Amino acid sequence: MYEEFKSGKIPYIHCSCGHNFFYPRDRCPKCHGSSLEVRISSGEGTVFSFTEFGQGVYAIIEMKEGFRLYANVRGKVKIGDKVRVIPGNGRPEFEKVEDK
Amino acid sequence: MILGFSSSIQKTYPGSTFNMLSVTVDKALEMAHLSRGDVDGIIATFLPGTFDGNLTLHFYTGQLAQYLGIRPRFLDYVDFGGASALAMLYRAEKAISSGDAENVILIVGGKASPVRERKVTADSVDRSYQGIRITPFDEFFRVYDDMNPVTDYALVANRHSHLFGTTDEQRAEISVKQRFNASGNERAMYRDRITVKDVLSSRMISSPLRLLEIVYPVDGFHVFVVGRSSRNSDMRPLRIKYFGEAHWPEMPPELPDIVSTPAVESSRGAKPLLERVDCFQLYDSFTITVLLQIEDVGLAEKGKGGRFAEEVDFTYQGEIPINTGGGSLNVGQPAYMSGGVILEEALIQLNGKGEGRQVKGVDNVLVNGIGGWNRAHSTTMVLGE
Repeated sequence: MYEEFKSGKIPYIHCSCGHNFFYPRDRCPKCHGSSLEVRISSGEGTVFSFTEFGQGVYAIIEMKEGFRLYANVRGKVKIGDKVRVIPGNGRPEFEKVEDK
Repeated sequence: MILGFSSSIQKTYPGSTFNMLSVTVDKALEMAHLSRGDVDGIIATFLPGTFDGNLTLHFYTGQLAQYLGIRPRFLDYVDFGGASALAMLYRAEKAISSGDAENVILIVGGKASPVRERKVTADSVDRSYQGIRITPFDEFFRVYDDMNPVTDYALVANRHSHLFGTTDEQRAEISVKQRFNASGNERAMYRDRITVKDVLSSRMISSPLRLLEIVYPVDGFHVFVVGRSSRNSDMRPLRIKYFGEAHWPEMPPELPDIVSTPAVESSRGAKPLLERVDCFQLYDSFTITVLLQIEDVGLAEKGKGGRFAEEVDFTYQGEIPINTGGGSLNVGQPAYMSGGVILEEALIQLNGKGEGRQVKGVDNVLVNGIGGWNRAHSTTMVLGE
C-alpha cells in the first residue's frame, strides 16, 4: 500500500453493488455484501474540505470514483478545487490542477 | 438521583493524578453527606496519557476502586470521550433502579498536562508514544499530517462556511458570549471580556479556527455522586427527563457530509421538551462544535447556526442561555473531555448556585455531550425535577 502511495496511486475497494470505498473492510459498508475487488483510482478528485496549519494543508478529497479520503495537499487550495494525486512520501499527496 | 458533585481544576497540577482525584471524590461525597464506605459503584472514563502520563492503567476502574478504598458491587467504564459523563449518569441511574448498586460515583477527568507538554493531543498521542493504535485504519490514516481533533473540526468549519456562508465573525460571537458568561464564574480560568475583533486577531491554529475558538486542556476531575435516596442531600431531587445517545462510527470522509453530528439523533426525542428548557449546556471543544449543536439539537435549522450565534443573545441574561458558566472554552478542558464541565454547570444552574451568572427560574436544562475519535458519539440529556 505504501509503495502504491509512493508511486502516486490510490487503491480503493469496489463492491459489486456499485459502491466504492477507501478504508479497508471485508464487507461493503453500504450493502454489507462481500463481493469486493481492489481497483486503482484515476487519481483525480476535488477538495471536499481543507485546513491549513503548522504542518501544511490537510484535506478531505472526493475522488472521481465517488469515495473520499483524508490526504495531504501541496500548495494552497480551496473547496471545490480540482486536484490530482502526485508521487508522495509513502502517503497520498495531492496538488491543485491548474486551469488553463 | 444526583446527590453531590465536585470539581478540581488547575492549569497544571503538580502532584499525582490519584491525589487530585481523591480530593475531588471527598468533596463530592461531602456534598452528598456520604462517606467512601457508602459507595458501592464506580463508573469512569479515561483518555490515553491523562493519568500520570500513562497510556492505560491496567484494569482502570478496578485500580481506581483499590486506590479509593471502595469495594464495588458495580463497575463500568464508558469510552465516549466528551459524551461519557452523561452516558455514565444514565447508566448509574439504571444500575441503582435495578438494585445493582446503592451509591455510584462518576469519575471524569485526569491530567492533561503530561500530554500537553508533548505538544500533542489525547487524540493524537500516537505521535509521541510507540505501539498504540488510534483507529482500525492507522496504516491508511495516521500517515497523514493531521492534529486531531483541531484539524478535524477545522475541516468541518471550512465546509460549514462553504455550504452555508457561515462567517468567522459568527463563530467568534460564540467565544465572545461565552466569555461574557465566564466573567460571572469564579471557577473560570479566562474571565476578561473579549470582542469579536479579539477573537479574529488571535493566532490561527488550524484554519479557520483561531486560538480563542479552542479549549485549553487542563488538569482536573469532575466527580458526581448518584444514589437512590436524596433525603440527606441539599440538592434538588433531579431526575433524567430525557436521555438519548447516538454513535456514528464512520470516518468522517464516509459520512454523507461532515457538517452534522450524532446529536441530530441523540437529541431527537428531546424536541417536545425544548420549549420548557431554561438553559442549554452544549459541548464546547471549539466554537464550531457549539454552532453544530445549536443546529443539531434544534435551536436553529441546519445552516442557520451562524446567524443564530450572531443574532440571539445566548448569554445567561439572554432569551436562550447557552453555556452559562463560560463553558470549557473558559473553564478549561480537564483531560481533553468537557463532559464534566457542562454537566456540572447544569447542576449549578438547577440548584440556583450560579452566583454571577445564574439564569432566573431554571427548572429544566438540556445538556449535550460530543466525543470520541472524530465526534463519533453524542449524548443528550434533559435534567429537571
